[in-house]
This record gives sequence, structure tokens and C-alpha cells, in this order.
Amino acid sequence: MKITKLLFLALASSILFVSCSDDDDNSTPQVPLGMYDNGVLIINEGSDSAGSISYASADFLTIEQNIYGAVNSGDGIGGYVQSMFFDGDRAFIISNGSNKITVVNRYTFELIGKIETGFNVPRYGVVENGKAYVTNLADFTDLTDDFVSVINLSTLTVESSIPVNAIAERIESENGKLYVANGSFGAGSTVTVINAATKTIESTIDVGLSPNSMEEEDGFLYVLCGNSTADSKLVKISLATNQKVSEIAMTGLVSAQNLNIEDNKIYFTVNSDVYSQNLNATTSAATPLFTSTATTLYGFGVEDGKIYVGDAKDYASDGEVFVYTTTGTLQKQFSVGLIPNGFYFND
Amino acid sequence: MTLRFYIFLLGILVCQSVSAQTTHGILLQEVEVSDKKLKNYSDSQNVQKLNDSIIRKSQPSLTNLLNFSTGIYFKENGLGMVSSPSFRGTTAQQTAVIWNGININSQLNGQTDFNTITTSDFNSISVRAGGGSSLYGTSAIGGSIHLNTDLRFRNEFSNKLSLNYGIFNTFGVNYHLRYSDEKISFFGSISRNSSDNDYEYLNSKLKNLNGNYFNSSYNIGFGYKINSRNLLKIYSQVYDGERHFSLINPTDSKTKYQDLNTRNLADLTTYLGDFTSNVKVGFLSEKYKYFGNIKNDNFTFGKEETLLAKYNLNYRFNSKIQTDFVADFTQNKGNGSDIQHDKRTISGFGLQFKHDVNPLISYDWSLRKEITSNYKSPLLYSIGANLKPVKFYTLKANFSQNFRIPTFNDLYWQGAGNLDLKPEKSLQGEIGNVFQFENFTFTATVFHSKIKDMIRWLPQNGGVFKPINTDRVSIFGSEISMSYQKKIDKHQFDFNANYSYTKSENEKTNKQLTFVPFHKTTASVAYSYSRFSAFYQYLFNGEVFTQTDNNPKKIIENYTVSNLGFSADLDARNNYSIGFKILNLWNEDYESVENRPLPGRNYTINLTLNF
Repeated sequence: MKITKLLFLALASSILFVSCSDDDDNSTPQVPLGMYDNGVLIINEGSDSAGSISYASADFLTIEQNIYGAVNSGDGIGGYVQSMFFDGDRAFIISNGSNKITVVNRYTFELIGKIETGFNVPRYGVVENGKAYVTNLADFTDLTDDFVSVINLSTLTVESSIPVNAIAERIESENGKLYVANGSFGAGSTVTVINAATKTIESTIDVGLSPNSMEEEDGFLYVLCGNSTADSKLVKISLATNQKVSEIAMTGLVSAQNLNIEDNKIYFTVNSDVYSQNLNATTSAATPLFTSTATTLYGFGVEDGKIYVGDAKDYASDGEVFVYTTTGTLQKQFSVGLIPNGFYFND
Repeated sequence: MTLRFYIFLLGILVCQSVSAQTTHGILLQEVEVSDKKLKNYSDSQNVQKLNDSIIRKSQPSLTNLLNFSTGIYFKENGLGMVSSPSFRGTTAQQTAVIWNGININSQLNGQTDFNTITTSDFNSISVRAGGGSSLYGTSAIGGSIHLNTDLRFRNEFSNKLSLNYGIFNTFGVNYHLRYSDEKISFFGSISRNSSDNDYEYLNSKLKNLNGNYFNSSYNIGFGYKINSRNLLKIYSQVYDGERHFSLINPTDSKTKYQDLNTRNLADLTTYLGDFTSNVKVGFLSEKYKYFGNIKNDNFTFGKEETLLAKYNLNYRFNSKIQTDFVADFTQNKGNGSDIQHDKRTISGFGLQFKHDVNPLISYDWSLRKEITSNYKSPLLYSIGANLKPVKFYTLKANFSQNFRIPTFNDLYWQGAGNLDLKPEKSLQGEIGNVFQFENFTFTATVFHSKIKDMIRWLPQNGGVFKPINTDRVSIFGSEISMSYQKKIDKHQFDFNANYSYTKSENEKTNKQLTFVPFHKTTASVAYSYSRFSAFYQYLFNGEVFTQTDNNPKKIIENYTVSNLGFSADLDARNNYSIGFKILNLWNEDYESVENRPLPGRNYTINLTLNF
């Protein structure tokens, strides 16, 4: 029994290898820029002592855990890894537990540098105007001490900071402006617009409910707002005027999260349900596209016709990633690290 | 010093066993114990008494003491930081800490941080394994730790000053005062401990940053024999401490935590022939402040105040049968930055019965029922028997139902508290075998418990963590302990060892609970000759899982830690003694929580003055 099983496995894997190399032969000759090119990077938030990054190749035949540690001889990226942003070939990995950013080559994951001062619970970052801007929540009990750290991209140091005077969580940028969502765990109800060059607040846009995720698309900023009691809403802001142009009440949908825009469609989640609607829809989707098998849907991403769901389970065991088609058919699932919270794509 | 102490200890034991046989004339008793239930209703379970010399070997906290002398596992976030026990495979909230008979687990989080108890303040510490909710209420599931202030009524006036200094600028001072005559007894202890705690991590360039702490505490007992019928006792204890929480990564935000706990108890015992009536009135308070970043003064806090009244009526039918009736009332008031101001009232009724059928057989049972508007309490009970068919062998058996009530955090945390919680319930049984020879005692116990409605904080809709009653846990384990004492002329030799095996599984997943080792062993050898003494302590902790899926890569590796100590009395009357300890003698690189290394080999010097 055991031997036959082993033989079967050997046979199966040889077929896989063969088909794998076949694929390679057929594909367009594109030289990978590193071991972790052509695939998805998954952030595992981890514990107060360590988070990690998992990698899955585009064909899902290679799944690797803790790739940063593997490449950089066991070094760590800090605890509670929150998010990642990119500047060309470089990835900036933000650890909010350890107040540091680890800068690596996004394709090889070799360490480039670490930024270890100038942060206080850093959360999200963007690159604009030749600099990186990273939000900081600072003291959790103080909702007005949050700030944006300004990082010099050549020296990899924090050169200044911009006080936000409100919660500073998600951040987007466009045309020299920074858009900081002033929402965290149901608190806050505005978006701050900052002029990146002058480092001053230009205006504050009232969105009426705690903004939890946002994305820029075709000159508009889409902001998903919600808390744990009220119906969520989707607010559309014109980046030309920095004014709210419309909002969609999401009747019956409490705690909608994880806004993603892909191929003219808006995706979001409510608990384990995944919703989608057209970008120009004037009413919110009433029924979910599908219900994911995740016990605790935590990380979420949509890319190239695939929906990625990160299952944090009980927050105390290895997470699971489920990959669906945009119609909700499960294509693949695999284990990752502790608390998968986000997907980033190297393609 | 040790010899005199042993004689004294022997005196207590003889005295107690005599008084257990003869019922009347309790006032003749020279030592007044603060927790009579521990003595009267624990025969079917194992109670390990840690005497003063053991307490002094493992300073300063309850973690240090119990880690090296019991099967209780400790999860310590770095030296002196938050320390949580797992007793017989249970959670930190399922071990009760009892101070002079009163449960002092935090009402806010349901557990005691074992690094906030300074052991040198107590003159008697006992560890009672297994269920005890029918006597002590909530949390006595895995077992209970008893911090007692026993009072002696005899002419005595003594002072003891003990000074400890260790590397990392660790400083400890403890002063004991005893004053007593036949009517009045006073015991007072005051302690101060502090440390920079900036030890270097072994095999690493890093050191323990932001781990400094200090704390002050006192514990007082006062007894007054008002007349031949009435005995008044007053107990008071305060612990006030501040700890900076050590960093995992040097760039982590620096935090600190302050505790202020006070406990006060007045106790009046009235002897009326075969009846003994006891009234207790107590006031306890706890308060913490957590500073999320020491650079500014912002903090979150929680505080709670407990008012309790307890009446106990003991009746002795004859020298062999006794019963106790208990009625008590507890009011807790709590509030905090994340807790709504709320009040909880619990009334409790208990009945206990003990019968020494003959010198070979005894049994006891106890019942307790609590009534509160917050949740439904199960009937708590315990039934046990003690058989001694031959002189050297005792068979013990006990079966009990115990519980852990929802805490203030569980019930009232803003935006998360769950008012529909039920208490965690545990059914358990154990069988113990005790073999006792002249100098040698061997104990082997097996136990099994089932816990249901475990309260766990799990993410709910929208990602908010809320406490809910979920998993069932099945625990099976065994404990073996042995002790050997021998005295030849001026040579005194002591040996103690414990081994425990614990399988504690989530019934649904069949996975071992996190931070519960399968194996733990402790051993100690002490030798003294004339004025000199030496000891060696050994601890082995098996590996533990850190994830609920028991991922074999996510473990804390097993570790073995040993301590070695010497002491010498500098004069014949042991007015001065000096001691030297080497902790972690073999320089083991170990930790009990991921990325929180504990110190390598380090040294402590001790000076004790008796006057």
C-alpha cells in the first residue's frame, strides 16, 4: 500500500515536472527577474515577534514559505507585517509591530536596506513625487497624533513627517497629492488630501463613515466605508476637484471591506462573502458573487482574472489561500503562514 | 538555621495532626492557619507544601518558585515579564491563586500574573492539584496556589533582613518582623525588588531592551485572642509594581505596565462548643495602567474593586465527623478605558462534610452553588476518599465539577463583551497513590478532565474579536513525585523530584493545546552540614506548540535549566548568613515564548540577618 502510494506520487510528480517544462517551452521567452518573479507574494501578518512572506508561482506549482528568511539567512522582517509597496524593482515591507521597513528586491527578495527610525506603528505606503510616504497610527488611544513619514528613496531614511491630525491608515496618491483614509476599526469618517511637495494638508473630505479601503481608477478615488453596525457605503471622489461626486448606500451590508477594482469591476467582501459590481453601477450588489470557504476571510486580492482569499482561521494556525475564478470557482488552495493579510503581484 | 526550621516545621505538623484527632480545645493550637479548608478538605488530593527554605531558594516571584518545584508549566514573556501558568494542561485562567482562603485572580482577565507575587512575603505557600471550585470558586480547575499568612501564638520577637544582589543590577530586599505572645500575634513582611534586566541574549548580538522593572509589596497578618471564645485576625497585602515590557525587535515601540493590587481581610472566629463560627469581611482592589508608548503619558487602564462577606459555620458531631456551612456574598465593581462601568453581585452557598470513618478510611464531599444575574452557574461539587490499607500506602480518589466564570473583560469589553457567556465547566477525576516510608515518599497520580464551553476570543463578523463559548478540551495526565530526607549527625540530605505528563487536546481537532508541554520534570538536591548548605535545582520543560494546528515547525524547543547555590552561617547562632547562587548553571539558551530569550548563566549574592 505504502509503496504503491509512493510509486504513484513519484509518477505523478514526474508528470507534473514534464508538463511544467512543457509549459516553459511554450511560453513567450521572458527572462525571470528573480526566483520570485511571475507569481504572487502573500504577506503573513504573523505575531508580535515575526511575520513572513510566502510566494506562489503564477501556475501555483511552486509554493514557498518565509522567502525573505530563506534568501537572507534567517533574518526577520519584524512582527505584525502590515503591507508592502513598490518602487520600481524594490519592495518596501512594513512591520507595524517592529516599527521598521525592510527594503528588498521584489523579484529576488535580497535585502537592500532597512529603515528603522522615524516610524510609530507604520501601516501603508505609496511612492509619489520621488519619495515614499508611509502612514503611522502612533498611539492607539490618541486619534490625532497620526502622521505620514516621508522617506528619501535614495538614502532610505525618513527625512520628515507630516502630521495628519486624524487617523492615518490607508494611503493612495495621484498627481502629486496624497489621499489618507482617516479610518480604523470603525472610527474616523474623512479622507485627508495632502500636497506631497509642500507637505501640507490641502483639504479634508467628509465620507460620513469610517473609510477602510480605497482605490484610484480613471481619475476617481473609490472609498469603501463601514463599521460593525451601520450599512456600509461606497463613496466616489473626483481627483480633479477633490470633491465627493456620489455615494452608493450598501443596504444590508454591514462591515463591507477589501475594496478592489479590476477590469472595470468593483470587488469587496462582507465576512466570507465576495461581492462584485460594475464600476459604474449606481446601486450596490444585493447578493454575493460567491461565498468563500475561508473560516476567517482576512486577506483579499483580485488580479488577472483570479480572486485571492486569505484565510486567517483562528489567528493561531497556518493560514490558507484560496484562489477563485472571477465567477467564484475554486481553482487552487494552499497553506501559507500565520494570518495571511494581503496579496501582491510580480508579473 | 535549616535544622531549627525543620524542628519548627515538625512542631507545626505534629501540632496539626494532634488537633485533627482531638476536636475540642482548638484555642490551644499554637499556630493559627489562615485557610482551614486547605487542611480539612484536601485529603483526597495532593497538596504540596513549600516551606520557607524552598521559598528562599527561588526568588523573587511565584514563577521562579513554582517553576523549579512543581509540575506547573510557565509561559514567561521574558524574565520578570507577564507570566501565565498552565496547571495540569489547563489555561492561565484555570489556575486559582488563593490568599488566606480568598480567591485573588484578577476579575478583569481571570488570571494571576505569577510575576506579580513576591513569595518572600508569605510564610506558607501550598500547591493543591486538581479541582477546588466547590471550596474556592472560580478558576480552581487545574489546581490552586495558596498564599498563607500563618500566625503563631507564643512569646516571640524576631527580625529577619534579607538582601539579594544579582547581575543586571538586580536588587531585592525583604524584611520580616514577628512579634507574638499568647494573646497577640503579628507577622509583617515588606519587600522591594528591582532590576535593569538588560541581560545579553545568548548566541546573539542583541540584549534584553526595555525590560527593567521594580516593585514593592507588603503582607501583614495580625491575630488577637479577644477572649477564650473569640479570635480576631486581620490580613493585609499590597503589591505595587512597574514593568517595562521587553522588546522583541530593537525597533519595537517601548511600552510599560503598572500594577497596583490591594487585599484586606478581617476574620472573626467564635468557638461555641461543637460549633465554630467564622465571619470574614474583605476588600480587594486591582488596577493596571498600560502605556503603549513610554515616550508619552497616554495609557489605557482597568480597575476593579471587590467587596466580600463570608460566613462559615463548622460543626463537629464528634471527633470523627465535621461539617461546614458557608454563605457568602461578593460584589465586584469594575471600569476602565475599554470596559463599561459595571457591577456584578454573586451570592454563594456551600456545604462540606468530612468523616474519618476509622484510621484507615476517610471521605469528604463538598457542594457549592453560586447565584448571579450574569450567567447560570453549575452546581460545583467534589467527592473524595482516602484509604490507608497498610501503614506505608495511601490510596486517594477524587471526583469534582469545577468552573471558571466569565471575567469583566469577557462580559463588558466595549464593543466586544458578550453578556451571553456561560462559565467554563470542568468534570474531573483523579486517583493518587502515596507510598510513605521512613525517609522516602513516592506519589503517583493519574487524572482525567473534560472541560467544555471554553471561553475564547475569536474573530467574529467584521473581524472584531469577541469572547464565545467554544471548544471542548480533554485532558489526561499523570504526575509522579518523590522525596527523600536523611539526617546523619550534622549531615542533612534532601531530594525532591517531580515528573508530569500532560495530554491536553481540543476534542474537535485532537490537537494539543498551545503552550502545554507533554513533559515536565523538576528535581532538587539539598545538602547541609553544620553551618554550610548547598543545593542544586534542575528543570526540564518539554517542547510546546505555539500554533493550534500543531505545526511542528512552530514550537518552543525543550530546555533544561539548572541552578546551584551555597550558603553559610557566619556565626554559630546563625545571626548572619551569606549565600551565593549560580542561575542557569549550564548556560542554556532558552525561551518559553517565541523570540523572548531568557538569561544565560548569572549570579546572585544573598545576605541574611536574623536579630
